[in-house]
Amino acid sequence: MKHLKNAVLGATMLAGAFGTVHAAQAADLSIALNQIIQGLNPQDSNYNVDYSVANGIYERLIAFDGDMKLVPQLATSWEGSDDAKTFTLHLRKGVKFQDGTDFNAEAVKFNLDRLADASLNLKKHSLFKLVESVETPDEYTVVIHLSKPFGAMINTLAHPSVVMESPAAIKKYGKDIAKHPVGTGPFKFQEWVPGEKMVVVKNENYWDSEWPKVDKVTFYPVAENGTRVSMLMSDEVQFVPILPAELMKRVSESDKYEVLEKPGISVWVMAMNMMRKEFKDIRVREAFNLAIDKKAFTQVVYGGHAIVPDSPIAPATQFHATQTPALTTDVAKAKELMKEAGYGDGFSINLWARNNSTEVRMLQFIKQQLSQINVKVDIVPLEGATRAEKLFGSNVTPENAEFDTVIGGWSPSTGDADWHLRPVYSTEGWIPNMYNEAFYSNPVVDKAINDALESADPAKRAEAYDIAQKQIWKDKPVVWLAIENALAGRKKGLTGAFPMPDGTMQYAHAAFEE
Amino acid sequence: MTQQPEIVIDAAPAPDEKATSPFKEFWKRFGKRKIAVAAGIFLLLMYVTAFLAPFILPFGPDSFDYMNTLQTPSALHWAGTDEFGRDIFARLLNGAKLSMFIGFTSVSVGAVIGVLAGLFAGYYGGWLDACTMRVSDVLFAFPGMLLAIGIVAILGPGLTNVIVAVAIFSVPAFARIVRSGTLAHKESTYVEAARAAGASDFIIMFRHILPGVLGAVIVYFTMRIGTSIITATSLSFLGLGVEPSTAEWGAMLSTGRDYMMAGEWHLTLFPGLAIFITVLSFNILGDGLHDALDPKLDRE
Repeated sequence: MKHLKNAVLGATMLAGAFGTVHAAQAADLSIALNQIIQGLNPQDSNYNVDYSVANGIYERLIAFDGDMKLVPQLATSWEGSDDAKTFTLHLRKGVKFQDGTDFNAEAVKFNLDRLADASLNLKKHSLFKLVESVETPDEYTVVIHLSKPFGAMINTLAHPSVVMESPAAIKKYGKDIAKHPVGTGPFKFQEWVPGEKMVVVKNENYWDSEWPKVDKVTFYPVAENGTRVSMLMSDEVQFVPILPAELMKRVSESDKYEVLEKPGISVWVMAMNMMRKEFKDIRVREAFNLAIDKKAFTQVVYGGHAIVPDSPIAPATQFHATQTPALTTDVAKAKELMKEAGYGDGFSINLWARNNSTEVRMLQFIKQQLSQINVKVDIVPLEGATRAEKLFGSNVTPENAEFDTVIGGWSPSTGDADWHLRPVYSTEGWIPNMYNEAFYSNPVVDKAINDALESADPAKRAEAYDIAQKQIWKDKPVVWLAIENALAGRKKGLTGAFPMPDGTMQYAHAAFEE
Repeated sequence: MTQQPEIVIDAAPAPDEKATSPFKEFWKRFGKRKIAVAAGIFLLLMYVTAFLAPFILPFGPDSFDYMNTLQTPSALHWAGTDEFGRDIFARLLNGAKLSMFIGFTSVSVGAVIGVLAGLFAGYYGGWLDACTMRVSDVLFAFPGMLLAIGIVAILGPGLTNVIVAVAIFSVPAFARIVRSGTLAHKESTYVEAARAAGASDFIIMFRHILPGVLGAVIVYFTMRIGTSIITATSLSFLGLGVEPSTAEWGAMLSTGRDYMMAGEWHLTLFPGLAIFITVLSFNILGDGLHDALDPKLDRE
């Protein structure tokens, strides 16, 4: 607060002296994160919080705007071949890494080769398995050759983990680059006290002279929802990128703060383990979908700040197609279907989820709803790491998986239908490989997903994804629950810091208005 | 010939007939502790209401109503409704039943094991005593809550495991109390007399020593119920106890916490009050029993 006042005062005096400078141009920004930062090398991280803080230090070749539309960042333009196997990128000129290294085709090749190198075991290697070679015909052109067609390549390059890191810094620090990040972004890394705070400061040599407009950004990881909101209300922080719906009212009631709300791309589902004989029956899966009141779900769990899905993927995801019939609630019909399937008296299932308060609320809600069709639900809230181990552990097989049903949310951070449909609904996506927790398998869907990948033509891809979505919607391997909105709290007058639909956030263009 | 005196001892029920008089005396003395009586009556009333709740309340603890979520207290919903529109008063009463069940069962199990262990250790001494007391020391070395969390972490969450956890951590305290009592009584003249008369160890322990230490056990039992309710609700609050949808005070507090900052005070206030008043009542009741049962206080 003191810093902010001083900065505002200083800036005002400057404005007075020079007349033309905008008042309050320089100031410090503080942000409260909902999780602890794990590391500062996004290429080797699975965590949204890591991507979020990295967004100011590093930049990607191609990025997303606030509505998940592709925008140029370090690449100014790009094109793909018709067979979706060769992609050419034209790079921005005059960019330097924060350590003085030139940003050019060589640097991009260095980064992409690293990601494609299986022996390095980077967490995001999976996105780059298909990269065969990277060519650099001139200093500002990069050509990527793939071993198989992959129509979603451009969106994959825009994944928040695919940042360009300084080759010199990687050579110097090796794996420790996660503690000494050097990118091309508007902010330079200054200090990281794990579990306590992280500080970045203005990069004076940023390629876009307009930015950055704040001198310093400090991140505080604060797991407790209420505390983050208190910090915002007491001006300790000016931005809370993840705001739980039940606390929204408190922020919006005050005229000094505002709530930012944006349609998200996280689709929450309850996957039904189709290895169980009950769930092999489409009538049972249909009955489950009919019994659970989705509208009430969005109210109870998200206080209304969510929408009912109208397709397996969210409307803001590329190639989304609205499906019919829309999801409805009809307990009488659900009972009838259960009876037809021979389960008029119901049966017992377990239901897994994480043990955070939002998911525990989901568990309770579903238990209540399914009791209407005589299904007895044994709810199992699991600690995050335990859940991951029991679901995705290497020893998990379709036969020995212990869950009957499991709740999960999936947000495709590439913004593309492929990275939602393939991991969650394709046969190759069966856990523990990827995230198909229902063990759903339909050749029609598999073929459509592969067809879509073999083309770089958006029209052709849209057609194939339409087939896939339609078939999945008909087969109902999951109960579609909700698509949550991205909610954030922000001090009025702050611009350029906002939540992204995939659960990450942006602050590179943060600025304080007068 | 030598067997004859034994028969005489066994056939001497005279002290038993007088036992009604200490009982009356206890009531007389307990009756003077007005606060303790009030606490006892409160607990009795609460549990009677809790058991009658299904017949008198229009709502069950689990009946949801999504049209009426997060209602503040009203004539219809005395303590308001929660995020699922469930009646908090009905849930509180169900929680009372549960807390009673958990408290009584776990402390009873702990008391039975602890009393037996303490009795044998104190009576026989030697290696049995050493072993029992060292095991107790180890259990004592952990703070109670930490021990309970550890046990639940091993056994997994759930109502039964909470009872087991609370029972285990009650054992050493009972064992110690009974052991020290046994040591004192063992040397008393009447025990010596019984032994001289040829009574078996079993008879001596259970007929002559145990009644002497029972007073302390009853007092501790009562207070322990309060502690075990706190432990059980804490475990549930941390998500290690009952299933989250159960109408249990700790679980209610835990889910209500999310709404505290949002101004929905009634979700946490009432379960918190219920825990506070119940545990306080058990402690006051225990204090009253202690005063009434302690013969030394008479002379003062």
